[in-house]
Amino acid sequence: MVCRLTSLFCLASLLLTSLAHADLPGNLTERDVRILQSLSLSALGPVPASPSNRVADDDRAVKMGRALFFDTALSIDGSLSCASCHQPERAFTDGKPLAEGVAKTARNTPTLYGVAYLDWLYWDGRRDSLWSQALIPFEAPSEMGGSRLAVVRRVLTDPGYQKDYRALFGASPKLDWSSLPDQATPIGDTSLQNAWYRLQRPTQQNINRVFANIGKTLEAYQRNLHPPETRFDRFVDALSEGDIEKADNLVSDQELRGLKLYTDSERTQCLQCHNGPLLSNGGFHNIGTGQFSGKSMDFGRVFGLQAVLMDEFNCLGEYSDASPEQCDALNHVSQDAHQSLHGAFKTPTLRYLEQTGPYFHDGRFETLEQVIDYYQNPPESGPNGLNELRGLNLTDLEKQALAAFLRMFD
Amino acid sequence: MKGIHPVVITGLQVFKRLWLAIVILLPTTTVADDCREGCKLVSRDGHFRVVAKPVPEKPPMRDYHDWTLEVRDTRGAPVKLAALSVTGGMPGHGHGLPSQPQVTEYLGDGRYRLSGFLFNMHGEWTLRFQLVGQNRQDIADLTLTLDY
Repeated sequence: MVCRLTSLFCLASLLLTSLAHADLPGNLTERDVRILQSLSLSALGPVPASPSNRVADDDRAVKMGRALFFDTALSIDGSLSCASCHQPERAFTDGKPLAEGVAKTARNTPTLYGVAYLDWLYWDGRRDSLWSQALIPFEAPSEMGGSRLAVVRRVLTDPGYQKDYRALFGASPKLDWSSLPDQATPIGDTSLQNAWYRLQRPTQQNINRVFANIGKTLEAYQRNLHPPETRFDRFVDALSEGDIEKADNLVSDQELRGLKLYTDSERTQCLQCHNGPLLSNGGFHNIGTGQFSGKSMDFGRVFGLQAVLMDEFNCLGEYSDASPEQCDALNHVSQDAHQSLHGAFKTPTLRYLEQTGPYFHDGRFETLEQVIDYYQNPPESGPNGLNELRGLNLTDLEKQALAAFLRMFD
Repeated sequence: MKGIHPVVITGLQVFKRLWLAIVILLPTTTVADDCREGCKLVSRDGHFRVVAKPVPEKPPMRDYHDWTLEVRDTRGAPVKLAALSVTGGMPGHGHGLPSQPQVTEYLGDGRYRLSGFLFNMHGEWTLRFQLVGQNRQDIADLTLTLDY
């Protein structure tokens, strides 16, 4: 306890003196405080604009998007909605290693908290907006298993949705339902693709337009899934206010030891990728988890990059509301052939880990302790030998402390 | 007197030799913290002098931002380049830049705006500016360290 109080005292003193630009005492530096504050939700700015979606901040779109998010009638068998995998009570994840829709998918379900702050969606960044991302699960054969035509039909023939749609986007395009098939999509099952390509291009464009607008309401809803405040955030806020007693009640000795390890760039390098208030740099990194053969083959970003460039629903596409110069992420996307995109996946947040396991893009690890053990001994040879990890040299007590610190973000 | 000529070094030649010595002695890679004051670079073969500066002055973490580049020749005259490109990365981590910055505007007087810079990790980054003039080309390297 003495140790803890001393550390806290140093930390709080540090903060106060740092504000006064005085010399800092103890083994903590002004830089340590800046790091802690940079990880707190207090450092998270407002939700960034979404120029490709003109209804992103329209309350009517939020309402419609919420209804669609929980609507099981949008799946092929009427049993699945977005919320089937993104369950609110599990921080919008499902607790499974791999998401299960109509069939088992190849990826773990990520949390939706803070998703509005991301430039790239999916583990491989195959979409560049939340609205274009929201369209994929409707048609993915292993997720909701349906088609864009069925989704558009459901929305435009339901009196409630129809009214909401018209209020947001004006009159919907004329679609002669009696002459259209039940299902049609350019991806997935061959018969559905054939149905899609038999449609005239203007009809396809009308369907795509409504489909994109449906995604835009889903984005409007998900932009409001703000990351909940955690004990870590309250701890840093208390320190920032100089309230040592309050801060003391919010952290244990073990967690303080874990905190120091997390911010120790020589010992752990956690901060290299897991930085900022969302504990993610938003980038793609190869940590040796790609699958380069077999039925679970997954190359990660190298294919995600090609997919987003080809995506007709991307920021530069005809269904985007942005002017081309507003598409920063896509305009400046790195296509460096020398960059190690093979087997690279997006850095996930480390917030809410208790609710969001299993971990990694393929849910290979059940526990946080297993994840830390992987970082301690990453693959050094074979197809995954060339990765960005350097291995750790942590004792068992240190690994426990690091895990305890990370649980402050729950 | 045939064949004997006194060696006369003009002022211009003195300047050129001094400049050559300076260029040879100077490191071709400039190491800086975050370039908030503007990083002064000399290109590897000495053809260009460059001042690189982020906008805003402290490069933001995880946010797209611009840099300005001022390019001059060995005499200090502004250079209108035929082409200018940027590459880079984090050698310590074995990866390139997370974005592809590019020239978006010529500001006049040898000054260029480059947009699309993105740094998403703290630590040591390298930037390589590839400068193609009307008659010569060269590269200028910069190493910068981003900290909290």
